[in-house]
Amino acid sequence: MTKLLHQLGHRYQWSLTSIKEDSAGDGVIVGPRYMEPSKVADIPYSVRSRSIFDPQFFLPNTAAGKLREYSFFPDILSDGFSTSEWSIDSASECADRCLEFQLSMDFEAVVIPTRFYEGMPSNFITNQERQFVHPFLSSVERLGVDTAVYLQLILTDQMLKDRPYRTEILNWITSFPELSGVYLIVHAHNRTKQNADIDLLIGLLSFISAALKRVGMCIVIGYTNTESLLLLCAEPDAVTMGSYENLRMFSLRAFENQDGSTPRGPNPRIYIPRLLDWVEYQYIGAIARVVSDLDDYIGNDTYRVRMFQSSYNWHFTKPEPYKHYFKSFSDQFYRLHSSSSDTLVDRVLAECRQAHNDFEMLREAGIVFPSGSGGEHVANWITAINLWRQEEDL
Amino acid sequence: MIKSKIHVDDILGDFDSPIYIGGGSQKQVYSAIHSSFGEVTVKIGRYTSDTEFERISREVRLLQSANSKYFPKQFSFEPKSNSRYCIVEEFIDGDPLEQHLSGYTVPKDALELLSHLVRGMSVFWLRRVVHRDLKPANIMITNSNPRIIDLGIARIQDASSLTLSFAPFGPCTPNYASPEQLTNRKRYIDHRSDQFTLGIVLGQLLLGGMHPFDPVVVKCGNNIPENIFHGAWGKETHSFTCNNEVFNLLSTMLGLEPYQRFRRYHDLEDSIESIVGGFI
Repeated sequence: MTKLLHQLGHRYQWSLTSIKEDSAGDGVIVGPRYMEPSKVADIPYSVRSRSIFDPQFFLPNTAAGKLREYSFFPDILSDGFSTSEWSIDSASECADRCLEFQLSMDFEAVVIPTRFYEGMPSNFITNQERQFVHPFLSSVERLGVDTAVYLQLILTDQMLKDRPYRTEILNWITSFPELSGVYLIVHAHNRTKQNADIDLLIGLLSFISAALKRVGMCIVIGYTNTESLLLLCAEPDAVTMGSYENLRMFSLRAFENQDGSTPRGPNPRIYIPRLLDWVEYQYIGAIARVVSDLDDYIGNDTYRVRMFQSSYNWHFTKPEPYKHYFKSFSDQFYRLHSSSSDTLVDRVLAECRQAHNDFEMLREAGIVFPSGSGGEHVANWITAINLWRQEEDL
Repeated sequence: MIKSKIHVDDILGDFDSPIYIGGGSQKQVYSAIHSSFGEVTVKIGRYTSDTEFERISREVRLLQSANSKYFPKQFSFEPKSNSRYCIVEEFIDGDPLEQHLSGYTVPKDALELLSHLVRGMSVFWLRRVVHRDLKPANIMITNSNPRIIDLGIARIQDASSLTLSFAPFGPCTPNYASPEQLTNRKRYIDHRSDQFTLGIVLGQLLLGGMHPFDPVVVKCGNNIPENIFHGAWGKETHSFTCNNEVFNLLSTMLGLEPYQRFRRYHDLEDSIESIVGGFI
């Protein structure tokens, strides 16, 4: 059964209380960018043991935010990381320390980090192997690690869409018998708020199902937005949900920034499960005028009740919209997963068709949604699932 | 230039009753009696470079370290005068599988043989050594378990290559090579390449000796390597006399890309054992 993990970042406490108080989510992916080591240790064992740690070596020469408090981070370890000076000794020490930290925290699996590469570089595999994969695998053997080992990968939309490149990556990652799984992050170049790129979604679904699941590798997809529901079709081992947008859509911006400043202030939005989308809060009143029962659309948890009081001061830094998301999204996720009617793919498709029809109905009633929160992605999702399903002969 | 035959008499003088088995201008093979080891195989060869000598030494060291019932025991290896060498190894009383290909059409028999071969090769796969030439001619059928011979082109993954090659395909027998060997994609030549070759052997056994990539079986293509390259085997065109489980095993082993095959060799072992267990 696919697990739903919280992608932790800024305001990670919201996620931890959501697990504790609302049973929303199965575990977390810890991100050191916003969390010093002592805070990682403070996460209850019951949560850590169902979680993984993302070392976030995306830009190894930039120790942004709390990353500078981790002695194994390449820029800290080598007092200024540079590819040409990254010696075997440095890489080995980095690997030992990073793995020892992960093991000391009793995570469900240890993660071999990766760095970010734009586009489709021809030396992608060679560089990953030299800098991190081989040193970490040697360390796994040296330390006698008996916990599951995941390889982190950041694949760009170009890599996933290009079948020969995707095949090379698959041949590569499946060549390491020591690996139990892959922690995959997708970086899309010109992404909208929702992942609506049909070719990318088909490529991703194929990557999960046709390859990794078939050969028995675990696959965890990080930094996912509501497309976590779509990805359920291929039954990965885990997908994620996150509070701020930068945890639901991978971007390097937070890792380029050394000063640790908070995200820009977006308009507060609320997740509407039935629409499979986030909508600006000012639209709630308009939707309520058109639909007969708003609870059917938004749910009726304590956060929703609190947000809909007239005295509530909407602001993107307030926890309620995000805790509502965690609660309502996880309910939707578990409901879709556990139902026994039809196949999982059919259930996801039915959920998408309902959202598509509801948006049509709302538009016909006169509601004009701003770009990026009008459910434009839903038709693309249906298309992606249909085409992927045909390709996979499901 | 015609190469002269290797002079062997001085070396064979150390043995009793030498009988010529086969060979060519570069290597001759005899059965003989050794005073300590009994009946042995004596291989007398000539090397043309230090690299070649190192390659032969490596094969012997690999076999010595394996100490497996699936490979001939290595008794000695010595350089001799005039760029010659002599290997003394266990004599294997049997015939190559290529002479018995029609004897395994019952899936259970074919899978039991395959199970032995996988178990034998796992000693090397564990050490990241790939045979690269597991063709029927290199599999000896004996009264006990099968024996695998000729690790001459075995490759140790991660080790630097002994030869600088710009050939369109790497060392292999093209009719029994995996697609990645045919295209010389060295990075992906690992135990899954041997698995592919064993898949060819399994297919051939199930077809009573017909090569599964043979244009006659596939009904397309000009030759076997071309069909291997395109992943065209008798999947659709030929009815295999086996159940779905065996057919699925064969399909996985013959995956065009390495990632489509069994990822870990013990996954392959488990799959074979599970099917064989079902026959009992």
